[in-house]
Order: sequence, then structure tokens, then C-alpha cells
Amino acid sequence: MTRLLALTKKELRIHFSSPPVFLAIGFFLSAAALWFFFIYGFLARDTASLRGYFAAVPILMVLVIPALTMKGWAEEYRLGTSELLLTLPLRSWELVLGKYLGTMTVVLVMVLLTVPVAFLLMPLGEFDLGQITAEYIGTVLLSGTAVALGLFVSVWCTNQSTAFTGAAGLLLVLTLIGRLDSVLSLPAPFLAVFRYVSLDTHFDGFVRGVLDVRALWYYVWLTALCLYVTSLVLEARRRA
Amino acid sequence: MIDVHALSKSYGKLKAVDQVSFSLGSQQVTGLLGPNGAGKTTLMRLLTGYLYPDSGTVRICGLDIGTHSTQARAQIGYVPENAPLYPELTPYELLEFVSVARGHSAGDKGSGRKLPGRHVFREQLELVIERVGISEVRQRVIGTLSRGFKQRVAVAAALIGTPKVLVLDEPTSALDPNQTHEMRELIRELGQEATVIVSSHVLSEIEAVCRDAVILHHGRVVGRGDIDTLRHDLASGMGELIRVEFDPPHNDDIVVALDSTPGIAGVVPEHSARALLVRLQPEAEGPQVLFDFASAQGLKLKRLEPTAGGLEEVFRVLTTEDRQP
Repeated sequence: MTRLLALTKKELRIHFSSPPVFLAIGFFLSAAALWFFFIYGFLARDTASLRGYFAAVPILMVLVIPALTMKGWAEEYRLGTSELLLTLPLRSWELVLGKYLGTMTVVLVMVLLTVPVAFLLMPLGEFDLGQITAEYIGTVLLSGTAVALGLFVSVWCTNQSTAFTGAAGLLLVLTLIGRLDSVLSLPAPFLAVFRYVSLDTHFDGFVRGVLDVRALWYYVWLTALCLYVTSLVLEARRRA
Repeated sequence: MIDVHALSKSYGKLKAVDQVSFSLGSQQVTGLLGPNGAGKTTLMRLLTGYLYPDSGTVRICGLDIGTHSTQARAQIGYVPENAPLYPELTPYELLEFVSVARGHSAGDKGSGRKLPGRHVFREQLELVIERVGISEVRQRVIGTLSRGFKQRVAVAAALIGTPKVLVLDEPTSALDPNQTHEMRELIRELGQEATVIVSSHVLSEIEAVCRDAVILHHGRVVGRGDIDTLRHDLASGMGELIRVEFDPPHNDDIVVALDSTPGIAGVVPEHSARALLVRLQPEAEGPQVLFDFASAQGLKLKRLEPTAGGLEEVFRVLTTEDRQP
């Protein structure tokens, strides 16, 4: 546990010394606010709900999460610090989990920075706190899975731009694949599979204030699967 | 302390390390030598568990690095080539991280190496910082440090937890002469406490700090053992080795002409490039052949003295011929 905390602390220190991380957080907060107030037009609507705010989260994460995970493993291999890290007496799962927790902490800070928006809007109407809580839980689960996917892509790469492009591409496909039925007429079984695979489809329920156990399970197993495969890739790279 | 048996590693069709075997006892400093591409770095990565071999075994303190990887790695301190470090951290933060990763933290019951308290933990870090001379930069961000200091921070990270095996890839490559001297002293000192493997392209460096050497060529061990013995074995069965200096100084044409002169087994320009090391053939009659050569070329012999030869000659002979130890 102490080793895991040390790894997480190291990752956090590196993240918060990196300008792209601050740019990514700034982009997320300003893009979400711009969308919500100026495009979605919250103030012109007579609805006390943050549904519009959180509806933008999946597509924003497509750009923001890869910016946070691109350094992950790719930078370790590019700088050669992987030689320092991988020769320490740490197990692969500890290394993977430490890096994941470090990045997730940054994401949690970013999500927490949206809380003042909710608090500022509270006096304007009778907001459903249960729905807002579900929206935050969904955001954390969605971003948790996106971070695991981003780090999974990063472990294959040796430069940040490839890691960013790969992760953004993968997240974009997994976000939009559930909406294929609106542009393509595909057989129902295919659409069902695409909807199940989609990160966005499972997020819809949380945005509506529904805590769906199946959606929760989906995010948890996909995160665990990505972390597990990342640790396998890490071991496989020792054999390459 | 280190047992390497039939170790092989390939990158595609290239055999980087090919059937390498050797054993190193405790408390000795061994030099790992070889020309570029000989497989030194791959071998060091295999020894430290950064890479897994295609075949063969590495045992560190009796622990197989393939099957007991984490435990074996706990016995190793490693300074990779070019000393890669996290530029965002300070030396103190890095050492603190490495220390905890090695199981040294105040009151860590899970590590099995419980220390009496946080002050002892910090004291041990301070000792390492003091030992490698990075006190003045301990709180500066590593990205802003000179290469020399980065190198020393990397060495400090390798010393954390007093590992029984130290693997140092070019540990003095970025140091100035004074720092190089201090580092050599430190390596000699460490050789009293641990098994140290030092890789270097600077042969005088190896001669200065190592008693033993392993020489690699095309991924295979072509020479190993005590450096003096290597020199002696190489010289046995060969003619006399003579250091020669001509006036005017030699050029490439003279070296080629001398090398093809009957009675001469080989010619190697010395590191200083002023003199030549000339190996006579066993049947050659003393230095007469050199007097004849100088006379025929219109050169004066400025200096002519028998020599035992250095590691450089051993290295060049072993890595330019298809020899086996």
C-alpha cells in the first residue's frame, strides 16, 4: 500500500508540473461552461437541471483524457525512465495501478472544480440533488474508464503525440458507436452490441439521474480489464 | 552473487546476447567491455530484470530473476546509460520515491524491513545524498541540473537501500575530471560492500576501478577474468610487445606499411596517438626488424621500449578477431 501511494504521489507531482495538464483542465471547464450557458442556453430554458452540462462530458473527455494519459507510459519509454521504474522491486500491477490512481486524482480535481458551477446555480431553482449526485457518479465512472483506456494506449507508444491520437481515436469510436443507429440502418443485433460497447450509452442513465447497476458494472469491468491488459503488455514489453 | 548461465536475447534476427555465461562473487568490481553494439546494454538490462531473456538464466544472490523477479530486483541498484530521471522531480523527491519503492519507509509494516522511525528513514537518505555530493541541489528540480549532477542523482538512486549488486552503465560519462576521480573512489569503496558491474567505453576507466573484466563481442563473451591475467594470456605464445615512436610522427601509411612488414604480428596506435604498440611475431629477432623498417622509410626511432601492453590492446585484439576465451 505504501508503495502504491508513493507511485501515486510521484505521478501527481509529475502531472502538476506539466503545463498540458493545466491546459486540459482549463479547456474542460471552459468548454463545458461555454456549451452549457451559450450553446445549450441554460439561462433561456425554464428548467432547473444540469442535464445539459453533463451531456457534454463524454465528448469533452474524448479530448481531455488523452491529454492527461498521453505522457503515462509513452513518456517513460521515451525518456528512458522506464529503466529506472521497471527495475525497482515493484510488481506490474502496482506500477499500472499507481499510474492510474495518479491520473485519476487529477481527473477528480478537475471534476471537483465543476462543483462551484452547481452551487452557483442552486438559488435559481429547485434542482434535484439526487440527479446531480448520479451525474457526478457517472462522470467519475466514465472518466475512470477513459483514463484506463488512455493508459492502455499509452503503454504501446513511445511518444506522446501517438499516445494522444490513439487514445482520442479509441475514445471517439467508443463514444459515438452507440449512436450509429441515427446515421446507419444496421441489423438490430449489431446495434445492440454497439450500444452495449459504447461509453456514452451507459452514461445516459446517470445524466437522467438513474443509478443503473448494469452501467456501473460495465464501467468497472472495462476499467479493470484495461488495467489488467496494460500490466500484461508491460510484461510483454520486457520480452520484446 | 551473480550467476549468468547460457543467456541469450535476440531482437528479430539480431542476436544481441548469445549464450553468455559467467559468475561474479561478492565484493568485487567488474568491468563490462565491448565495442558499440556488442550487447553490453542488453546484457545489463537482462541482469537487472528490465528485459527477460529468450533463454538462459540470471541468478542474483541465488534468486532467479525470471521466477523471483521482484525479490531479485530488490537486491539490485541500477544506473542506466545516460542516467534517465524524472525532470519534474527534485533529487530528494526521487530518492524518497525510490526508497519507499524499495520497501524503506518509516513504520512500513508490510515491507518486512521496518525502520524505527521517520527520522532514521530521512537520515539514510541524507547519508546517500552526502555520499554522492548532491546536497546543494537536493531541492532543485532535476530538469534544471547539469548532466554531472543528474548522473550523481542517478547513482544516489541506485545506492538507496544498500543493494548487494550495483549495475552502473557509463557512470562517469558526464562528469568533469574532479567528479570522475570522486566517482572512481566511490565505485572502489562500493566494491568493498557490494558486487559492482561497470560498463564503460573508456578503457582507462575500467583499468582504474576494476580488477576483473568481461569482454563482449557480437553478443558473446570473448574474454573474462582478472585484467592482468587477460593481458598475460594474450601475450603468451606471442612475440614481444614494443612501444615505438617515430620522428617524424607516424601517419596512416606508415602504420599500414609497418603492419605488413615481415616479423610484425600487429600494430595498434596508442590512445595518445603519438606512439605505436607493435607486436612482434614470436620468431622475430628482437627489435632489429624495427630498426630496418625505420631505416628503409627514412624515419628516426625517437623511442623504443618493451611494454606489457594495456587493457586497450587486449580489448582491440579480442574484439577484432574471432577469438574465444
